[in-house]
Amino acid sequence: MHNGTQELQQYQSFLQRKRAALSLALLITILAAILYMTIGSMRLTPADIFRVFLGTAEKKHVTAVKNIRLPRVLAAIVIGAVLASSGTVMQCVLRNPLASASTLGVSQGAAFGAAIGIIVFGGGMITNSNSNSTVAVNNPYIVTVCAFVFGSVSSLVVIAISRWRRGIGPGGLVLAGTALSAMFTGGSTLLQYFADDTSLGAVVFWTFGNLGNVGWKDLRFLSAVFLLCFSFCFFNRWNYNAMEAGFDTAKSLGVNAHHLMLASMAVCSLSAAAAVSFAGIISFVGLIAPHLMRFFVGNDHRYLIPGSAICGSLLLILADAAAKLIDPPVILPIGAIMSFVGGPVFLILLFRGRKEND
Amino acid sequence: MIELQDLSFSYGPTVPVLRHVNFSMDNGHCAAILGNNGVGKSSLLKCIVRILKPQSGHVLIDRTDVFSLSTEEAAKKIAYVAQNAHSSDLSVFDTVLLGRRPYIRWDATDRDKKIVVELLERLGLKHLILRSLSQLSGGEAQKVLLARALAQEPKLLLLDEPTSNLDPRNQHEVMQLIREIAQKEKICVLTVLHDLNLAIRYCDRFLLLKDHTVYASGGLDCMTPETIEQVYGMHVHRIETMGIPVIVPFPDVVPATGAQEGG
Repeated sequence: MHNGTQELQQYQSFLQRKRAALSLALLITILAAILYMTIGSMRLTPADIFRVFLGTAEKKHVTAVKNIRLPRVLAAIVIGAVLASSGTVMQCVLRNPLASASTLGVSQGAAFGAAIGIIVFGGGMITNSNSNSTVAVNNPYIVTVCAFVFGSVSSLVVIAISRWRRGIGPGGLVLAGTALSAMFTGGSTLLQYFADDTSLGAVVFWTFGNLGNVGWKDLRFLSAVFLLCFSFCFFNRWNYNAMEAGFDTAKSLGVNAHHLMLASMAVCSLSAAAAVSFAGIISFVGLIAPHLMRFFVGNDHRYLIPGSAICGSLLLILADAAAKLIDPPVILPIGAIMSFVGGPVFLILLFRGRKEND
Repeated sequence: MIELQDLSFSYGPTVPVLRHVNFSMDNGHCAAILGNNGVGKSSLLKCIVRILKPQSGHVLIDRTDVFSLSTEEAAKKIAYVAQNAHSSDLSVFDTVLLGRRPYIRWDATDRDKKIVVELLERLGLKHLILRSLSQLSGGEAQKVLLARALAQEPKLLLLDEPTSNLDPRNQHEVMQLIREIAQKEKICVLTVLHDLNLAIRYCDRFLLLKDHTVYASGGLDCMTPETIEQVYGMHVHRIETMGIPVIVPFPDVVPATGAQEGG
């Protein structure tokens, strides 16, 4: 008679493989971040980057890395991680594989807010000081605050609906998000219609998405947002696994499903709104990072949540690297690159998923 | 021992689902909840496990009122397997491990994993531990969900039509398993069933619902043709073949009394 040690070992090595996948993804992301920092008008080698961190590099290298490249890659990492982990959790609690900040109206709300900030409060202006961009946002804080406020309005309305009408269910919430995003898109268009050319340019530029506006101070705030969002999600990883078995089953397993859905939506959409309000619209990360990661670690949220966060960071680093490399010295809009590449990737995932289910 | 005391539930003031349901049973038994569609069988299970909040009444397990417990503590006493359980992508091992959710603080302990392995072994599922739930046959999946429920170490096991979507062989295997669980674990099993013959063969307590309340309850002796006719609005004979009680329905015969069909 054996006592099940063989099965336990089998299960442990099954988990070990998932941990290995996560470690590998993390390693690739770190390598990508180092390589990313070598890209730019000043050519640097990975060795130069190491020297900067060791404090033995030339001064101009230190300046380039510490002032421009490091904050930019950290912005990609933190924003990608926030969008991806919040997307993972939204997909779980709304029981909808299409849920993410950009499909629930959060991004559209933020874009509307940014438009108000730029057009109504005069937060945007054309400047030619920066060779990377011809249009920049003049008073980023007004725009960021407005974007965050309206991005949050989207999520709060969705949450309020589910509080008032408990019977609306996750499907209804997704539809509510779709309705809100249509409304905000219309609102943005109307604002743009009445805007002058300068503001219009700034609004359009903002919606392209840009990691270059994120400074060290913003990074500190965004890191706090990430830590909060990620800790909340990771703390509830067992509850999300229970939710995968359905709301009723989750309740019978001791999970307060309705409260968990509300709290998760609040934390995730507010975090996503914060991320988007600093960097503009970057769609698809929150949607495809979890789907990509499911291929490697499955739907077990113990591994999926950290995995998606890493994957989201990596995707944004790669997208921004592409944005810099395609037509230097012009930096293409990262939001556009992400969506342009993200669409086909999503289609591939869809077809591969179908094949496996057959 | 479990006691349902005066459970009532309605959707709004006008749509009664359950009216003053009383029932009690001892440990080690398996009770079938019977009745027509829409009479409130599934709702009764959901009220007991508090997926629905009954307007009045109590559920006592060994004299403890489970409605006074936290959801987590209640989940250590009551396990529930839904009717059309979602087929999740989790592995069989992880699905059963979810049954330990009410006990897990930060991570699953060795004891949690040991319980899972023992259950999988006992239910003949150990060759499937890394397969995902959606890849299993209906019978296998149902056994995995039973294993998950047992991992909660419950005093009361609630099953909503555990044999629907199963072929005859699997129906009997699952029902045998359920009866064995009740007897060996000394727990109460309450199961909604539509198949009267599975019910009288494998269950030893019966709760017949009609007009949203209890029409009859008790042991095998309460399953008379007259009672069944009243509850289902259909003429039946109860015969015995090779020591096995069998209900033979005659749907074309007009019942003697005006029993109404449920909605």
